[in-house]
Amino acid sequence: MGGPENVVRKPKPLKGEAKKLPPPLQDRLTILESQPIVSPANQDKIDPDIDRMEQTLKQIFQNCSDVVFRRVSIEGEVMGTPPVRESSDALSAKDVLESIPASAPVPAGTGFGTPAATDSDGPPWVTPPEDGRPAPDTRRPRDVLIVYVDGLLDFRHLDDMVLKPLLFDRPHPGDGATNPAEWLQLHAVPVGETRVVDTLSRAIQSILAGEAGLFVEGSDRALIASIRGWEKRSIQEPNTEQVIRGPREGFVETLRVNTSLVRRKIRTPKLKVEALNLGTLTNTDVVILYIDGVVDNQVLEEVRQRVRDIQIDGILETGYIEEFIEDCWWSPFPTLMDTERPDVVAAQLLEGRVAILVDGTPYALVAPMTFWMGLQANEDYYARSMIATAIRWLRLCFGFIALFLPSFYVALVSFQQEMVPTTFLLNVAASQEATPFPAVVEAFLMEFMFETLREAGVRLPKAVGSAISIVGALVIGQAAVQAGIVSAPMVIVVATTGIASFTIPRFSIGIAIRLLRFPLLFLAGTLGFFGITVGLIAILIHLSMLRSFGVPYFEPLAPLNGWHLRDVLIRAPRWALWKRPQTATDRNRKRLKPGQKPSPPN
Amino acid sequence: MPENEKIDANQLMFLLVPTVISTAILIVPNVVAMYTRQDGWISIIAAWFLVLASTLSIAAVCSHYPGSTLIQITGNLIGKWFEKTMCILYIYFFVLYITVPTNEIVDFTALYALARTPPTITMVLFLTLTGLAAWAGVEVIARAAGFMLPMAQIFVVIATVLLMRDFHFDLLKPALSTPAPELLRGSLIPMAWLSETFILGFLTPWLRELKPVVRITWWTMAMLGSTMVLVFLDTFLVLGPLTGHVTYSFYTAIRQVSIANFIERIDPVVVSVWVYGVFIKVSLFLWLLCTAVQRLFALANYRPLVLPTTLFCMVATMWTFRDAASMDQFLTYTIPMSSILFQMLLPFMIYIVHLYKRSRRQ
Repeated sequence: MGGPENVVRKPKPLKGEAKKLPPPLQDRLTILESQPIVSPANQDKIDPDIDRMEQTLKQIFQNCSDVVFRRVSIEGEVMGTPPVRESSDALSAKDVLESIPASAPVPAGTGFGTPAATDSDGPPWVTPPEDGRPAPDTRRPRDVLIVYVDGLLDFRHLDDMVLKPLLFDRPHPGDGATNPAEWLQLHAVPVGETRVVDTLSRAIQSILAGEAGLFVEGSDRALIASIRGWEKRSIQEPNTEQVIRGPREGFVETLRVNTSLVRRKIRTPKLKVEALNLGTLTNTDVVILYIDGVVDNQVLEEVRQRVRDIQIDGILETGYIEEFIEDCWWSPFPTLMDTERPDVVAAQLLEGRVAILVDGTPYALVAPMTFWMGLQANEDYYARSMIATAIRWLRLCFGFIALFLPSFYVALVSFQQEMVPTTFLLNVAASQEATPFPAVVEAFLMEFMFETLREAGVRLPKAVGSAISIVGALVIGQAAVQAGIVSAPMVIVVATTGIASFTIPRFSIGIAIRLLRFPLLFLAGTLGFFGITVGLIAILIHLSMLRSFGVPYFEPLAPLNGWHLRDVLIRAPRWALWKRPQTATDRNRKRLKPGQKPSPPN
Repeated sequence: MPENEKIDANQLMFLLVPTVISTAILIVPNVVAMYTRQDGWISIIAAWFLVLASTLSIAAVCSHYPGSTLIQITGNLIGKWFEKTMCILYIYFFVLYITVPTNEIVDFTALYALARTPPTITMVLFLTLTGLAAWAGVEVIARAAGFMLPMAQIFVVIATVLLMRDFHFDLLKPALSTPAPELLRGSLIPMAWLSETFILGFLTPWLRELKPVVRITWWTMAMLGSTMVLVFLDTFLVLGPLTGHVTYSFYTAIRQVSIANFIERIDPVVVSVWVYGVFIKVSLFLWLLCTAVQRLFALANYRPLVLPTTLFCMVATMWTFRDAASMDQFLTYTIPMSSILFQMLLPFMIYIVHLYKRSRRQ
């Protein structure tokens, strides 16, 4: 190879080994090296010079076509920078209109209101300073640069509440404001949620979150006015968690709406909504909800710690967070509960759990989760206790069926035929005789087909989905039996299992059970009832080992706690459930006054 | 995995009861019936009283020395050399308690369920599971045992109800006709099994609080005694004098169940419950074995020992018995004596030394 290429490939010498350059050059180089490379965009300061500020911001938002810069002039004194326009004693609306830069879009909603009357006294800093300096020209138009992301804020609101007052209204004399930005906040911008920030990065952060940033000439701070308003889905009943009795609202994709849904249910200052920001690129708002005094502080601290430790470029769904903070990544069982319903979140918060909401997804996470939460629906608590208990037992039975029925059937017909009543055995034997496969292969085939149908049905549009189910039912059920590929009892078993698995209210637990069916089927096909027992023991040991944020997953059944079984195996009436579950803090167990059992008057 | 595992007093009971009952229900009825026939329940009750005394003495010693196992207590009372000797002896004994029940499981499944499956597969599968449980620790075993106890108890009751149709109460008729020496011989086997409650002395350091130990001992003993008598009566009332001649006689009795031509056989369910019980027993003993070895060599953590110990137990299980007959022989004639030595006499001796030392101190 040639010489120059070798030179290029040679690694650069380390700083200490570098050949010294001639002294004057070397000195300048060291000075340059010691200086941090700072582009104006990286400087985290807000420039009082509005022109430079605008340049900087335009540099930062280069090629961001959805960012709008709007410059307006308001009456006031120019501090620091020399005035561009002629000074005038009284500012008329005409002047203001003329001062609008050509580059800024003309606001749609701004009408020509009555011009502001000539004001006698302006903002507090209008009065000349008393340190003997000559008073600068007063009553100068002061430029305000409004920056926002189009589509993220309510532009009608912006026009009415920010631009119109700035342009037309007589500014209030204010006292107490030491900074133009604060004066804006206190006296000029009639918006509910405003704040003053003093770093550029925070201002940019807020602008990207859909707030309007107001940069005032001569101020090293910026005012942030929250007039967010974007297109959002209306509140609907979630498809995955429908109820017969109970509230019909579900979370939406907007975090603020979601927190308001919870706040409307729990109106106490003890409901804490801790905000944090995750994702180096997405800067997603994440909120940790809990009720102070009810939550177990250890669990809360654990949740906080685990969520804060996440370092990732983007968070698009609570699933991203779940995988970072769950206790056992290789378990089929979820250790965090997901829900779309504000009433479920509120109920869990009242039981001392912690909820995590993420902007951009209607799914909330609840920690710590126990196994039984997966088998309980919110409606259990809205229905009367006896009905709810019966339904819980039904679910429990069908949970077992969903897990065991295929393997039980396979073990029965392949290993322990003597357990089956004789007439039934004859039927089964006849149907098995006609099919080419052993029972376990048949079961695998059918279960596999069932899962395929389910998965296909989920992704397809509704119209096609029903076609799939009809074709599936006909082809898989009827035709497969008639063609002699599978036996009819097997179709019944698989269909029952499939339906049973959908009685489990939480999809994440249901799918874990459906998944575990396959290894159990294999064990049953090879080792019969012994295999099923071995599989069951393995599952139970795993469930006993699992913990969710320090809380045993199978609580209160293992470790056994007799009192709390009244909300697991049965659903005791509300007045009997006067203790909070063990997920709540020990200091505040009592949730209602015991002894409120209703009785007819004598 | 938290090294500072703790179990509740209730969980202690959940651990002890399946440990004793799971293997006892298969062996005890026929051996007892072999010696004492219809008076077997008297033998069981006699054994129960003796075991109650020894278990209570263990509980008394252990609640006097919180945080140390029975072996460490001997170290305190007698001396370091004695502690090491005891440790080695009990390690041998624990190995026996892992291999024998595993062999029972393997033989039983080979006999009744999986005749053509190589026993090695059943054994390896079973011991792997227990190894996992032992690795998970006593807390997890206790939680898993928490399901077992209500399930097994309910099952015994259901079995009794279902068998009631086949009961022949006349079979108990010449009551109290067995001479006392025979009764005592008959009580050796239930004593051997009941006195497995001695592992109480190895579990107390993991208890969250020591206070309820004595109360829990009473509860455990009550549950064990009643279940054992019930199981014996179930078997004997159905099978009669045949009980003494049938291995796995309770199982044979259960096979008589037939309800309305619909449920012909419930014995695979028995097997499942029983396998689960033996699993609790073996994983508990495996855990005890690993912790005993850890103590012997003063290691920091027992978990690295679980895998080699489990492998060793697999080999040992294959090596222990030539066939089911020799196991039967061993269970009937050898185990009672060694059990009584290790489970009752040695702990009782420790209790005596403890009392002696305490009286000297005063």
